[in-house]
Order: sequence, then structure tokens, then C-alpha cells
Amino acid sequence: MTAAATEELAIAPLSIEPDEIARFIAKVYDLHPHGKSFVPRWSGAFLKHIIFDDPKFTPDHALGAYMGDQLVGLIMAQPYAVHIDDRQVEGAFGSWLAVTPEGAGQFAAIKLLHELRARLAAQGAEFLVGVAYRSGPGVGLDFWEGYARAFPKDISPGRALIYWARVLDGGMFAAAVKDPLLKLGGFASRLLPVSKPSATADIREFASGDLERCQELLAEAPAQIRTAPTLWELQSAPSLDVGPQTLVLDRGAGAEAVSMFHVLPMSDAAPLRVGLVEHLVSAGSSRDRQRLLAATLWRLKQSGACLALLPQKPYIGFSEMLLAGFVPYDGHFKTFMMPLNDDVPPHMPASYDLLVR
Amino acid sequence: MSDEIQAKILEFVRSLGDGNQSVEVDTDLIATGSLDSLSVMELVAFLTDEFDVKIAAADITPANLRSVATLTALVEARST
Repeated sequence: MTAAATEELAIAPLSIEPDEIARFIAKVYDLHPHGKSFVPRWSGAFLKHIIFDDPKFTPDHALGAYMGDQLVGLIMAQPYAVHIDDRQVEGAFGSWLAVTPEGAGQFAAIKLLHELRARLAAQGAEFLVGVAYRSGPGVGLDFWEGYARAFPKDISPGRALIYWARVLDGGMFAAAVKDPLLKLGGFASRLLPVSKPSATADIREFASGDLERCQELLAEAPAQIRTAPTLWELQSAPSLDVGPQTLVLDRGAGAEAVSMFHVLPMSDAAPLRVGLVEHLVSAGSSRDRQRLLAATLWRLKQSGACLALLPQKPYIGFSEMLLAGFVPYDGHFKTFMMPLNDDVPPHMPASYDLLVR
Repeated sequence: MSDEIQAKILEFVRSLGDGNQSVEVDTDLIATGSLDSLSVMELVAFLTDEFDVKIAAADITPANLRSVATLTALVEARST
């Protein structure tokens, strides 16, 4: 037993800078195998933007597990609201759970999650959602599924979450991945390159005046739980590496479609930049959605991303995605809903359109 | 009743890992690394199902999980 292990585990708001948090997460992630999934490399700048700079952030959204003065684990959540049926519900998107072996010996992950739930509930948050993927034994999806078996009233797993994947730069992608099949896919994707969209006059950056219409578009999406974004979330970050950017399709009568996306550095055999399309919704035809998606993919490619991922949406059909050059990518992801009061459904609904980070 | 609970918990803890067969009632499960986060959650699910008790995440403390004896005491406390 190490000297630190003799200390009582204490949970407290994180007191280190986002860059240090990013390094801690990377260090912990590297201790475990990652199965088929790429390893996300969150940057301090991105974490700062989406969590710490959010106007609704409080110190209770970022907690550390300490043994004496040694950080042995952390969990973070970003303020996040959704529509459940017709009601807007305030909560948080929780993720970035990272625990060292010393912390694991003191069950830090369970305590961190328990404390995060308690602190957010005390602030009036009604739910916590999160996403996990299959990685090493006892961590990632294993942990969350175990937690759901042990405390079934605290957490409800949703169905498996499938991503759609579109290679943006086949050569770069093939050079970065380990899996021979993925390499082959990278080379094959050169047959269907992402090219610059020809007509983009009606596609532009999100402006603050678009807020209400974009909120309506997302609220009207045909899913039982839908994202209710704030101005902060939709306002484009200074760059795709720092936070999401938002595009709208507007023919002159206001936004008719909206996409929100960012770039997440990941690693596999080598570092790769992956574009994540978080929101893609349109009021009109699927053609509008496809045009906006094409503009989004071009933006991502221009930023150096070699792959784009889009979580499966209940309102976008398989044929539409296949025609856009996407293929299904099952990284063994699952969404979890943690109700914090009795007004929120105790089980994850079958259809949802939520953030995945 | 206590002996019966203790015997069932001991049997379950011994089944949790290859190195756990030598666990005794007073073995320090934390110091010996006999439990990790995943096995703790399996243990909680077992205690909940087997003894019809409600174990909360707040109960997951080193004091409660220290040994089969402390686990037995936890189940008895939650049974009353």
C-alpha cells in the first residue's frame, strides 16, 4: 500500500487549471486499453471553453478526488438543458471520469459520481446524462454498466449508440489507424472524396439573432429527449479546436437548418484530428440537411480533420447517411441517463437527440 | 442469521477473483486489493438481490467494505 493510500479520500471542487486537467485525463486514459475506439485527447483550451467558461458553470461541476493533496481522480459536467416531451429540463452532461489506480483502490469513481449527483441535485439540476464506450476491464462502459446494476434507481442505460463515420482525408486517416480494415477503408474512401460544396450562398455562421429559431429547430426534432442549447453553446468558438462552431442554412427567412460541430484530437497508431458533428437538424427536406452537412464536412476537412463522426439521429435514415458517404461505426458506445428527481423519467427513452462528448 | 449472511457474503467475495479464494472473514479486502470498483458494484448488486436491502452509493466507504465482517454489519444495519 502506498503512503497516499493510507489517506482518507476526499471529494472537492477541482483546483487545477484546465491544461493540467487535460494532462491528468490523458495520463489515466493511457493506463487502460481502448478496444476499437480511438483515444480522445481533450485539450485544456477545449475543456475551458465548454465547461469552465460556460456562464452556468459552478465549482460543483468539476470535482476532484484527493488523497491528502494528491489528485487521484476527477469527474466533470457541463451545464446542459434538454426538452423531455414538452418540458425544458435543466441538468448537466457528465463525462471525463478519470481515476488513477490509487483512487480506484479507494473506489473514487463511485464516490465522485455520487458526489457530483448530490451537488448538482442540490443546485436544482434534474438529470445528468453521459456517454461511455467500451475500453478496459472495470473502466469506461464496464464501470457505467456495473454502476447501473448496483444502483439501478440512480442510472438508466440507453440503447447502444452508433456513430456514422465519414473519412475526410483517406491518406491521413489510413496513416493514423491501427486496424487493417480501417486502413483499407481509408484508402477506399479516396474514391468518394469530400469536395467543396458548389452552392453555399445561403449557408452562414450562426448569429445571436438565430438563437430562438435554432432552439425551435432542435426542440422540434422528432425524439423524446432533445437538446435545448443556450446562446453560449451555439455561439461559435474562436476555432474548432477550442469549441463547437455553428452553421445555419438561411434563405432569407431565418434559419431553416442548423449544424454544430468541433474537432477533437484523438490518437490511435498516430494522432488524428476527428470532426464531431453534434447537431444536424432541419425544418424542411432532407436535402437541406444534406447541403448543410456537406458544408460542415468541408469546414472540418479544411481544418485538418481526417474523419467526421455523427452520432446516429432518430430522424436521419440509414439511406440518407449512406448516400452522404457515411458508414456505421460501432465503437461500443452507450448513453446513460441519471434522473436526479422524480419528475424526470426513470428510464432512458428509446429515442433521443443529445450531446455526445 | 448473522452467520448465514456472513457465509453467503464470504462465498461471494471468494468468487470475485482468482486471488480471492484465501479471503477470510476478517481479511482486509482493501489492503489486499481484493475489491476494485467493478467488483464492488457486483458485490452491491449481490447484496441487494440476495438480502433485499438497499445499499446506496454513499455506503461505498472503506469502513463498510473493509472485510466480510464489516459487510455483514452493513447488511444487518440496512435490514433493520
